[in-house]
Amino acid sequence: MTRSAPLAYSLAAALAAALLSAGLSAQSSSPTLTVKGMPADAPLTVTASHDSSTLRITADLKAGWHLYGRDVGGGQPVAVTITGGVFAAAGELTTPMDKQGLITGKAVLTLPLRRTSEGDTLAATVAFMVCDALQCLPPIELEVRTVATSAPAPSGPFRVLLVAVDDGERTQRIAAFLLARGLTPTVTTYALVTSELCDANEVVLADSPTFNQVRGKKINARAFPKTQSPVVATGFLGTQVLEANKVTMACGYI
Amino acid sequence: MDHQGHGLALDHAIFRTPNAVTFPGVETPPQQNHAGAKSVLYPNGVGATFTLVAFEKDAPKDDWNPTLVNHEGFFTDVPGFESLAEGHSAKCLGSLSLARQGKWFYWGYSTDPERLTDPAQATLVNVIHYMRDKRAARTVEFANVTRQIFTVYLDLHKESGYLRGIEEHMPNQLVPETLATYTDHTPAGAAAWLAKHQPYLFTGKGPQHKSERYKQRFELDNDALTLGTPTHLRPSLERWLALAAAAPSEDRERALRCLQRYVHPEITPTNGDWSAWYLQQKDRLAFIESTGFWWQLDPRGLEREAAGK
Repeated sequence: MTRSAPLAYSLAAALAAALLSAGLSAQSSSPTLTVKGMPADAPLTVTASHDSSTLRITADLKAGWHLYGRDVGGGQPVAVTITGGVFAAAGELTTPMDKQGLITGKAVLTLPLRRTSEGDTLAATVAFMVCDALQCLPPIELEVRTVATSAPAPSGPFRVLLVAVDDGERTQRIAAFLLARGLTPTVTTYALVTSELCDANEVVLADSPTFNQVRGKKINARAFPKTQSPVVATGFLGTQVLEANKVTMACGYI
Repeated sequence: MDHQGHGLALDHAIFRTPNAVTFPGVETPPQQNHAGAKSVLYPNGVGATFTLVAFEKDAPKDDWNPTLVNHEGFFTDVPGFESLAEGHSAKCLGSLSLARQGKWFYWGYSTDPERLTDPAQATLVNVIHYMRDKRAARTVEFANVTRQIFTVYLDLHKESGYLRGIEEHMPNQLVPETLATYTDHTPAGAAAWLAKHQPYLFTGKGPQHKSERYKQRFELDNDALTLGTPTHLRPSLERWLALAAAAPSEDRERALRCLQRYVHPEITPTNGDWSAWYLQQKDRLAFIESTGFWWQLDPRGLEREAAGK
């Protein structure tokens, strides 16, 4: 199905000067972690990073050397322990290992996180033995810790596509609200929204008035385009968007 | 639902970052239909009171907000599904007003700042920030209700004496061969039948499981029942695999049919070597009813793998 070009317009130019100074936003970041304790002659390097949900430990091993992803009766398998900061482990460590339980080459180990309080600091230990076919080196325990510097500044506008029933007063009010919170909204309607427009934004906010306010109106939310972008689907039309994308079922709501 | 919510997962990022959100709450006696009920957000039930908070300043006038109803097991068995708040609903527990699956977030309230309370405004902004990182998140497609639907019929009878679920809906949601085994349509009869058969019911595999009125019809898996292998359990999968590698027998044939029936075709071994396949896939698998009763790749693991690349 071919759609007409979107009647999308940005409110940024009109409202930015007045509202950005009142912005409350702080963009999410991926804090860098320092890794200390690696012996100078160890046959691998380890780096680490995290976001709000995952700690990633990247091990880069020299050819012929391996770590153990699970206990196979050989060397000590990799263990990651959260020791400080505002996160706790929210699940098991995932290790990309082969059939024999060995981790080789460049591998990313991931640990699910859950935030326990405000902030972004994290401290952890990574313990393991590194071995080759003939020997295992003495156990190594690394200290992983948040770099003690402020988080990097936002690298650009946080683009949010607001998909609304129309471009009336309510829509303008919501767009102004988003702008005041440091977001950069672009407004379009359910009739005009396209995949390309959704994909060009970082998050799509699919708005909805209440049921009685949209009843009888021809708003085909079920034809919402496929998109690569995350979608916040709201209210009654949001349930139709979710159903059309097979996230939920029809009649699965009241 | 109205303008309120409860059961908020307050340790989740949407209530913490970038804005730390505090909702003033009102301690409220449980509703009648909360008695004995549990949900993801109330694993031990509501208790003596539950805390109601306002997302909107007042209730929609002569109107209502929708919630996603999950107490019937519709879609929340997907690993990684996030139940983050329930709506204040006439329905029993499990009516979600804030929830996420993959890259889709449901916000059950207004987005109009004129209507939203201050903490709800801050939460909405947090939700947008939270979803920013979800572009690579894996969404799995809903295909059918889960077999929990039958438990709901028992619960509804316990709560209110409602019999229609047991006497009418349940028989109409079974294929004829399975219906023939469900003969006692009393509450005690339904409970006894489900106690024996519910872990072996499945749907979503073909036109025989479609029903115009009830959408899905369930079938009793006599292979799994004979083997004593509830289809959703990891030991059952491993039993099927062990039998598949064993000498020819009727049980081996049953196990092979179970593997074909429940291991998603996208990941089945092309060479028939189930043992090697399992060694490779063991840590990547999850059983999901609502996608069609499949052992399939766990979407959480796929996300982690994508993030690691």
